[in-house]
Amino acid sequence: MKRTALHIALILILTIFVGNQEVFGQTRVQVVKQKRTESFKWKPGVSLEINGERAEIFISTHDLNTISIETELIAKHKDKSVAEKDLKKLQLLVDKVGSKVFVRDFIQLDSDNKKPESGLKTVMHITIPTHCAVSINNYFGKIDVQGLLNTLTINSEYSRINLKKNHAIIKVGSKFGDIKATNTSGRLDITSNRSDIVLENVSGVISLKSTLAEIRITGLKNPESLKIDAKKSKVYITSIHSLDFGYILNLEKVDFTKPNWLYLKYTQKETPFIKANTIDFEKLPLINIKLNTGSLALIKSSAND
Amino acid sequence: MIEKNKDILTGALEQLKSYKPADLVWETIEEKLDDQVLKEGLEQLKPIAPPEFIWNNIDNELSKQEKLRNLKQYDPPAEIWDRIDDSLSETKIIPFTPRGKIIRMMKWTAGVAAMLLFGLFLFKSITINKSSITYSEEWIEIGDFAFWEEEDLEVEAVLEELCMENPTACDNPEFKELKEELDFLEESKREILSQMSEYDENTELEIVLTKIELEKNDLIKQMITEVMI
Repeated sequence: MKRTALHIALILILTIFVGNQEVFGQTRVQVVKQKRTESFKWKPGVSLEINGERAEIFISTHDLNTISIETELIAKHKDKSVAEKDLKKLQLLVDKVGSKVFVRDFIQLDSDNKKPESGLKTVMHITIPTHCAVSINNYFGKIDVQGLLNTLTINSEYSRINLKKNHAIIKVGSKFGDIKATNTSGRLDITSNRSDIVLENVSGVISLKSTLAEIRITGLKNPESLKIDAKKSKVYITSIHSLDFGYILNLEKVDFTKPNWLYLKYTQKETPFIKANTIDFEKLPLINIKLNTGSLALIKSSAND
Repeated sequence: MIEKNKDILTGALEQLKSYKPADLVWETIEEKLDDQVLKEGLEQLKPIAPPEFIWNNIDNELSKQEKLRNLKQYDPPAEIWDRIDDSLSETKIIPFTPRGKIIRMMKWTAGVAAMLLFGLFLFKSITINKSSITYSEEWIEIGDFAFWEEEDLEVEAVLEELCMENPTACDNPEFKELKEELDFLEESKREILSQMSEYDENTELEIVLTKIELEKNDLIKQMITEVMI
């Protein structure tokens, strides 16, 4: 009898909790998703242009001559009807005009200009041929691109950027969005404002122009050149090939300790300036660092690192 | 050369009778001309032997017609015609049984169901392949980011007060540069807060806000130092 009463009590308690919208600080939220798929034929010369707002953009490559676009519009709110209503404000346009495939999502406000109450976002999974040129503009979200062999242009604000295995001409502009590039070659040109940069196993021609960034470069292997022009930044360059590069350092108000392995042919130290060149830098891949305010660390790692 | 008896010649010519050929003559000429063109055209054509199957087909067709012609014809006896005549004049009354009614209703139901199924299939193929809406539930921790706005107004008021006390320092280009950066950060912060939703996971944006706040703190300290000097 006691056991039965206990069971009933437990069931009642659970019913009350589950019936309620909140349990232990968590809230039950209604999620409304709208999925859409599109596919376009691709031939050389056809490019992809994405204009995203609150978009998570994932681009990968395949061997087919098609551009496949899978999108998911998502609205979250405690009230299902509000989520449904707000989802309608999140608009998506997918079309091909001439030699460009366009994908655009945006929030269309009502006549009363009332901001959506729900949490809104668009998730785009796009698969393209390796030689398709890509251009992305994104405002609040994420960008993930891998496997490209052509040109990639990114302009984003408040969006984390992740680039993997791209052998391409890449141009990135980012404000308040950290950038990570791994196993990338070709040409990498980054202009950033208040965005941290991580480069791993990169080669080719690299150029960084940054303000307020923590720049970490590791696994630097046979770059044709590396140019950093930064302000108020911390720069760390780690490589087992450190001795194989030529350096030009132009540092102002920078915390820098010359490593023992670095032989400087020419050093001009007029606090707070340091200007230095290594020997025979003309013959070696060049690392040219201009840094105003911050710190610089040149680290020679062992093969095991 | 000058004609000596011109008048005589003219008079003689005027006396000559004129003749028109009959229509038949022209038609015959025309026919012969056509025949000639046709003959010449045909002569230029290359003789081509038709493939074997063409002859076989012609052969089959001819033999079919031959067989049909050879079929015997029979006239039905008169009583057959009478019987057909009788049956046509009879009116058959089919009894309307409850079982028949059920069967008929079942047929209708099956028809309607088939149409509904077809409609559903069409609807699904249009909506699911192109665009489909799904519903689910999630348990999340509702974000609270009201505290990000707490101190802003206070700091602004303090800086304004300091500038009132020492306006020269606030006109300093270095101070102005710091103020510009501070404004940029505050604008960025407002932009982020306007995009944040309590239903989203805002971890990354909150990290950005933290960085902004730290940078703002640095700037404010520098600005206060500039004014206090």
